Amino acid sequence: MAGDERKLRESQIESYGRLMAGFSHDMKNHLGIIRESAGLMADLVEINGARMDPVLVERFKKTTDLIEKRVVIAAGLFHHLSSFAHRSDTPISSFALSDVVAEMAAFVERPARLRQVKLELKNDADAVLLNSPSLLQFFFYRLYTHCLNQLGEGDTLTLETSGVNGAAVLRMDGGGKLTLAGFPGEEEATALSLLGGDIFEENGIVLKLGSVVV
Amino acid sequence: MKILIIDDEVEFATTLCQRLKLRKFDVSEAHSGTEGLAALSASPPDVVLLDMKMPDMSGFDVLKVISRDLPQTRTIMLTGHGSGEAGKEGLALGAIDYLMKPVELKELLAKLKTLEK
Repeated sequence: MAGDERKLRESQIESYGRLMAGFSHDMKNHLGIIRESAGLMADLVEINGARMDPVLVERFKKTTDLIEKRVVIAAGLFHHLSSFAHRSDTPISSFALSDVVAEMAAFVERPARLRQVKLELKNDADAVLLNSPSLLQFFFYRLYTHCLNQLGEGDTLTLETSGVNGAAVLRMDGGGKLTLAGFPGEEEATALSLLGGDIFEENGIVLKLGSVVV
Repeated sequence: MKILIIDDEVEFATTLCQRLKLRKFDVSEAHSGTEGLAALSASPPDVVLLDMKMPDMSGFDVLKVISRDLPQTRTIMLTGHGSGEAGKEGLALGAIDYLMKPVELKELLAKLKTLEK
């Protein structure tokens, strides 16, 4: 890719990142109001409960508990979205591979659930990299999709990050079912080259990354 | 304990204010940085719950004034930033703590209880 085109792409990604981060920030404000309003309802029911119909009190409690539960889930997703979006603030930055994988996992859990594949995360103190997080997000997504397509009902996909001699390692294990056949394609190979990474089969699929100043 | 909530999200500030009042805190609210600074100078609180992003001025600008003029007032920043980086920046500017939005009341109450000691 020519230098100008690459700069344009980086600016595009940065713009999307800023838009998503702003959106996520707004949504957290909305969630904050929903949470406090439900909390206030719960407070008022608790204070006035003795004078209310016990069945109604129970219904209120169940409803406010459900709102709180869903707010927590949504807040977690927006928290990940915000972190994910801020990754593209600068083309190269220092980050832990496990953090990027954890953020991505929040979004890619759904397709796994739809395939009835269980997603497991394992983190063993990985290395901090100086690299391109948004490019890694892209590569991870393509690799994840490649792996998920090989699995089905009842399978477990384990994403394990670790650090070895300054390099960060991601192992994707699908219980012996994963191969690299057909991967990486042209785009993924270019991304992998820019990331300065290596990918191979070894008890699953292993992605090894070092610090790279692109 | 006297608390001032400075947040441009009026419904959030008002609802949180009511919930803290139900728990016997002396709470008031301001809905902009400018309004917050006026409230601070009129009657300095023990604790400020300060939003980081407001249209007229940032929470950091308000925090700088608090750190400079009201050293007895302790500030807890409220941030919607995902990574917590903004919260850490707030700590560097004199905030004693920060909470991620949407704020969990239990967590806030635990922090206020620690400050009361």
